Amino acid sequence: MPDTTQPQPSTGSGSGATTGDATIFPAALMLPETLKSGTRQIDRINSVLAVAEPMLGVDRAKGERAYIRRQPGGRLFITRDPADTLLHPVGHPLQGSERYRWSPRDDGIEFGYLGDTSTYATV
Amino acid sequence: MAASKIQANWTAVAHGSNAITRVSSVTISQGGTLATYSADGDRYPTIVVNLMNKPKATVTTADTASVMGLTPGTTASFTATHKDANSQTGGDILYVLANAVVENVDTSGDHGQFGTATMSLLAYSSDGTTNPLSFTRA
Repeated sequence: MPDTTQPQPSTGSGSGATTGDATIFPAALMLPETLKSGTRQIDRINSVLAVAEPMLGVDRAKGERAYIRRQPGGRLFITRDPADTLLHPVGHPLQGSERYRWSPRDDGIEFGYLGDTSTYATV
Repeated sequence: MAASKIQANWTAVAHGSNAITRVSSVTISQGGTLATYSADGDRYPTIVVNLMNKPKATVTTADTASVMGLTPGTTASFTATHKDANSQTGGDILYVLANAVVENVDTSGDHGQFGTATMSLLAYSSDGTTNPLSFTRA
């Protein structure tokens, strides 16, 4: 199992935040919905974003956001782009296969790193 | 003044590059549906399960031209921000419905009342797995 205690470099060309040439943040997160807290909706959103946005390297000063999607099974799929998908989309050569390499952590959060699918780019 | 933590009024409502102003109502729906199973001598369902979700949105506006100009089948991201009731920074919720397809637009107006148009949108998932409805703090 890969070391998930530190952000890992990725060779992916996806939406992960970058510093220089290397991507140091995961491109996606999968959080258990049980991590959210608060009674008001904005409190619950903020409780998730407080965890997710630093992990994704979101810079709100630049207009960036972490977008939360509720997935079946009490999971939250979170990325910096609301158009991101878990699987390669219909019509893609890799249709239906995972877009991310998932690295689970002890706290139940999974880091998603985009694989190198550049040879299948759909420009 | 602190954020009220309740929402009131909508802003930054758009379908793709088409901004929609004079918005009086937005509905964001998770679009959950239930399938029921019964057989043999059952008189009631013995299984009720959520197998399919169809996220959707509806927007009502007095800016009728902004939505009447959209034909059914037009696809874009639908975005809408539900403002904090005190209009305080950090209290607004931004909804994004990706792949939102215009289902229909109705326009109407009663005698002695302002005219409005209501547009309904239904979203699809690009991969069949990812929820097209996302949200964040604006």
